[in-house]
Amino acid sequence: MSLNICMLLWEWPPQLQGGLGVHGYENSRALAKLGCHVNVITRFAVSSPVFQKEGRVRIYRVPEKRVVMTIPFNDFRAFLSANLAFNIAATAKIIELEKEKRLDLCHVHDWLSAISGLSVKEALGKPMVFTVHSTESVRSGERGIESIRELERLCAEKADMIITVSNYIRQEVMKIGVSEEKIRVIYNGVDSRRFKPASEREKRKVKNKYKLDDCRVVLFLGRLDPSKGLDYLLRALPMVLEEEPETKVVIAGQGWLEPMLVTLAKLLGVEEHVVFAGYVPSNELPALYSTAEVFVSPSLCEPFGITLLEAMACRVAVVSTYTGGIPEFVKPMENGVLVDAHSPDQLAYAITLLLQDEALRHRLAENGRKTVEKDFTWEKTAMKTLKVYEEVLESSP
Amino acid sequence: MKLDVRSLCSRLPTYFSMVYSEHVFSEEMRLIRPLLEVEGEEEVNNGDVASVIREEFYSFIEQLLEGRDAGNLRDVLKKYADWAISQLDRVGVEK
Repeated sequence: MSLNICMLLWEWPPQLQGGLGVHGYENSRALAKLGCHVNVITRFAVSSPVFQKEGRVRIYRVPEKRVVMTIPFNDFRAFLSANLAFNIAATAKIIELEKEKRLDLCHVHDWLSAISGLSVKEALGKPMVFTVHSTESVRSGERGIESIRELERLCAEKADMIITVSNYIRQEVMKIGVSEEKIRVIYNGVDSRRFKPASEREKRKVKNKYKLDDCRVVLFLGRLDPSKGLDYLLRALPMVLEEEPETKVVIAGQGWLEPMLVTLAKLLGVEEHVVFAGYVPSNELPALYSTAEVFVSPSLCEPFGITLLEAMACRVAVVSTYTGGIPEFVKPMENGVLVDAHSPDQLAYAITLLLQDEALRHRLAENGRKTVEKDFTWEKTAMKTLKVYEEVLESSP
Repeated sequence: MKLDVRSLCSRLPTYFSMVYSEHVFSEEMRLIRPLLEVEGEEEVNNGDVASVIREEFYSFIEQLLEGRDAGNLRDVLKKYADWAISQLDRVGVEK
């Protein structure tokens, strides 16, 4: 069946920040390979064209024209106003596309594009699939914003089918009163042709760039925000250094927590052993992963954890925490090591164990690659997504 | 204040990357402040804020749907815009 899908995504390259964007991009491409016509509507990006075509994936960026509004300012108003403007412009684009080619359904990702999906569902009766990458409660706990929770609830209620990226998020969605029958769990994937062990030459380049010669590299990659638990990794480092003094922790990624992490590294006296690599271009990622002996994701809360899969695909042993969706694919002592969140002692023990036990490290890394190749490809994600689309369309009037 | 929504959309970091706290809001929005043209803010703040914003969004909806046969979409969008606007003052960090 050749379906015409409207994919509503707040994130799309070059504006990739987290799992939502990576999932949207890779899944759209994989769905196109399965024969779907994917119409992506995303937000405007400086230096990117308002329309692009990549095979069967068409990308529309909105708003297309400069829009100036007189709005009394505060940060929350500005953010929500920009998001509302995106949703209105996206809805207008859907009307335009509907005229050209009949769209079979709209696929909303998180609350960020919910208003557009809800409007089209209500006004045109267009079926709606809602992928929940995370929820406001998971992201922000009790400090979360009730308006966003309300939008999530409404979108979940009106959606014809809900996809969650892990069983953990499925449970979270069920807490807001959605019946189990309406939810399908579809895991994220990784492109194992791109994420694979790098050559010695590529690794050498990375080591030179970040001055990692003669070091044992422990890598973190992700947003620098509190949910990632990076302060626990830094607190673990002095203990690791007692056993393995040549260790360096590379923290790759950006975020508002960075100045505080720099200060913490100084306070702990480990600043010489921490490299803040900042933003790393996507084409350098496989080499960066491959340079590490251990990849650590010390998350306190994680809906899924795509970077762990990427590290596993690059045949790197991983250490993470028993939190969120992570234990659904990292199996302790089979393809990685899991420790309790909030525990520098356990992190230090696990990292040291893997640095010192080469055979164990290699076995876990090898099994990690096998896990990815067997169960976590974007092709699989797309095939399951397509099945959801077919299910929705079969039951639509 | 004039808010260039197109620029704003392109530069805002995704909500997904943030933990909403006053600190984060201030920090993230600091990045886009230079893009915002301040004009007549005092006057607006003395008036009915929600009405001003609603007027802006209604006009945006009309502008985008002008000449299009969109059924009752215009009304549905206005309904959701009303809801979103009603939420704007529930949480936030004043400048």
